[in-house]
Amino acid sequence: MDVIEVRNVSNRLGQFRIEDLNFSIPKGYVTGFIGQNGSGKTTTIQMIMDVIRPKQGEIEVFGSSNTNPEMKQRIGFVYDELYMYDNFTISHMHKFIAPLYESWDDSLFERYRRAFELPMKQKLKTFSKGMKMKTSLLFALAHDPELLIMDEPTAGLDPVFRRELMDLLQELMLDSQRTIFFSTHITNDLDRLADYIVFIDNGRIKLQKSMAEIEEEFHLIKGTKEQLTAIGRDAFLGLRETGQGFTGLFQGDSTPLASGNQEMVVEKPSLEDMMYLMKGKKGAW
Amino acid sequence: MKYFQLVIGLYWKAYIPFFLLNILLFFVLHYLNISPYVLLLFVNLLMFYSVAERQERFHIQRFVLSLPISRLAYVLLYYVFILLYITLVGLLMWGGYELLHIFSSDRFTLQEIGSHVFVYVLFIVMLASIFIPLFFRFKPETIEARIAFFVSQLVLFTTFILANPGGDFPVDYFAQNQEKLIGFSISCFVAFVVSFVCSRQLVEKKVVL
Amino acid sequence: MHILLSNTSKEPLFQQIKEQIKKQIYQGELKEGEALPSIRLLAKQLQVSVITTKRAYEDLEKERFLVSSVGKGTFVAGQQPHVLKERQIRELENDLEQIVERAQQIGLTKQAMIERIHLFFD
Repeated sequence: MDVIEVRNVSNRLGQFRIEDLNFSIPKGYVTGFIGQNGSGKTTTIQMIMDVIRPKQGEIEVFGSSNTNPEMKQRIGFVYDELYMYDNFTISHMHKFIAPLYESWDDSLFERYRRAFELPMKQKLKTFSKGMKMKTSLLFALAHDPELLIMDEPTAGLDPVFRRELMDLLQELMLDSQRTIFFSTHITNDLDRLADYIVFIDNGRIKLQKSMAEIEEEFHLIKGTKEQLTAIGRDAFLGLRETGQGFTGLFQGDSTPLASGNQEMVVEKPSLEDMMYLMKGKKGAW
Repeated sequence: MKYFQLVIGLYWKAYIPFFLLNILLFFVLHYLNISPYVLLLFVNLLMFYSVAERQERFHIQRFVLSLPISRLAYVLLYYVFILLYITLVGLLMWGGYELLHIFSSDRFTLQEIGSHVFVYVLFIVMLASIFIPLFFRFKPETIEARIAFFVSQLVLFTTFILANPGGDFPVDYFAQNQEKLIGFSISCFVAFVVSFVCSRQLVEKKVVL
Repeated sequence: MHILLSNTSKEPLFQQIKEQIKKQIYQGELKEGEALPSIRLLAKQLQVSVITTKRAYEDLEKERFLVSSVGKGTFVAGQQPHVLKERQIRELENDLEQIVERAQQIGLTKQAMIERIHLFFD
C-alpha cells in the first residue's frame, strides 16, 4: 500500500520547473529522496504538505487528497528550516501546537526533549542550526506520527548526532505501520537505512527503485577509451570521460560486457556515483 | 478553541508592544492636550504592516498550515483575533478615560468620550479591513511592497491633515452626528466582512505560502 | 543468533546475513523451532534497512531454512535431508581435523595418513 501518491504533478515557480512528477511512497518503509541542491526536493516536499500547490496533477496522502487538513494529524514534518518566530521558546510553541494533535503525547515530548538536550525556556534565536533541527523533529515526533516527512534533516548536524538520528529513525521503523520519507544530499545516510530511493534531477524523477533492485541492476564500469568505443556510448546511463579512460553507469547484466575485456573494472556504484553520473548532461539544454 | 489557542500563541506576542503603545500614546497625548487620533492610526497601520512582515520573514503561514488546521479556520480565527484585539484596545481606552473623568470632569462629557473612542475603534477596523488582505496577497518584505505601503500611508495621512488643519476632523465629524456615525459603523462592519471573504479566497487559492 | 556485517565486503548485506544464518543452522547453533528476531528488530540491531533483512529472511524461507507464521514470527525450520547432510559433513570435518592434528603430533606424513585412510575404505 502506498502512503503518498504523486501523480502527473507539474509546477512552475519563477525560473524553476517541476515536470510531470510521478512517484509513490510505500507504507512501512524508509524512502530516501535524493538529488542535488536546487533539483526540486524542497518544492516537492512542500507540495506534498499542501503549502505549495501544483499547477497540474494531484497528490494523495493516506488515500485522500492532500488538501484535506485532517490527514496532517497523522504526519510529522521537518522542513529545511524551523519556520518559527525567533523570540519564541519551546515551551511557548508547545502551548499552541500540542492542543492541535489528537494523538499528542506529553511524555513522549518530554522524552525526546531530554534526549535532544533542548531547553524549554530559551529563545530560538539563541539556538544553533542543529538545535533548531532538533526542535522541528521534537514537534514532529511528539504526536507519534504514522508518516514522517523530513527535508534535509541531517544538514547542519554534527556527525555524531547524524548517526544518532539514524538510530532513532530505525527505532521508529520497528513499528510496521510507520513510513518515513526524507530528502538528503548526504547519501551516506541512506546507504544503510533506506529501503527505497527516489532520485530527482532538474525537476524530473530520474529513478525510483528499491535499494535491492539498485544493488542488483546498476554497475559502475571503468575502462579504457578503446573499450568504450567497442561497447558504444549509448550503452551507458551516464558517462564521464577523462584522459585515462571512462567511468560509466550501466544498467542490467554486465557479465557479457566484462567477459571479453579483462582489464575492465566492474563495481557496485554508491548512491553518490549514481547521482553524479545520471545528472543531466551539461550543454544539452 | 484549540485553533484559537494557536492564533493567540502565534500573534499575541507580536501585538503586545503595539497594544501598550496605543494605550500609552492615547493618555500621554491627551494629557498634553493634543488630539491623539491621527498619530494612533499611524501606529496601528504600522502594526499591521510589522506583524505581516515578521510573519512573512519567518514563513509562519508555511508552518501553521502544515499543522492540522484548515486554511479557512486559520483566516477566520485571525480575523476574530484582530476584532478581539481592537475591542480590547477600545475598552481599555474607554475605561481609562472614565477613570480620568472622575478626577477632572471639566474637559469632556462622558458622551463625548464614548463616541470618540468608538469612532477611533471603527477607524482601526477600517484600516485592518483594507490592509490585511493586501498583506495576504503581497509579500510585505519585498522592496516594492515597502514602497507601496509607505506611499499609500503618506497619501492617507496627507488627506487627513489637509482635510482638517485643526486636527480632530475624522473623529469629531462622525462623533457629533448620529446618522453619520451609524452609517460609518455599518460601512466598517461591511468592509470587515468583505475583507474576510477576500482574505479567505486569497489564502485558499495561494500557491506558495 | 549473532551476525557480523562487513561494510567493505563485496558481498551484498542481505547475502551476508543469509550466509551467516545458514552457517549457524549447519553448525547447530540455531536449532529447529528457535525463534529469530523480527525483520524490523534485526534491521535495527544490524543498522541496515528493513528491506535488507526482509529479503534475507524471504530467501531463507524459500530455501526452507526458516518458516514464518503471521503474527507469531520467524523460526528455524525442521531440518531437511540436505541440511542434515551438510551438518553431518561438517561434524565429520571437525573430527578429521582433530585426527590430522594427532597424526602430526606423532609425526605421520600426509602420504602415510592417506594410505591408512585408503586401507579403511577397502
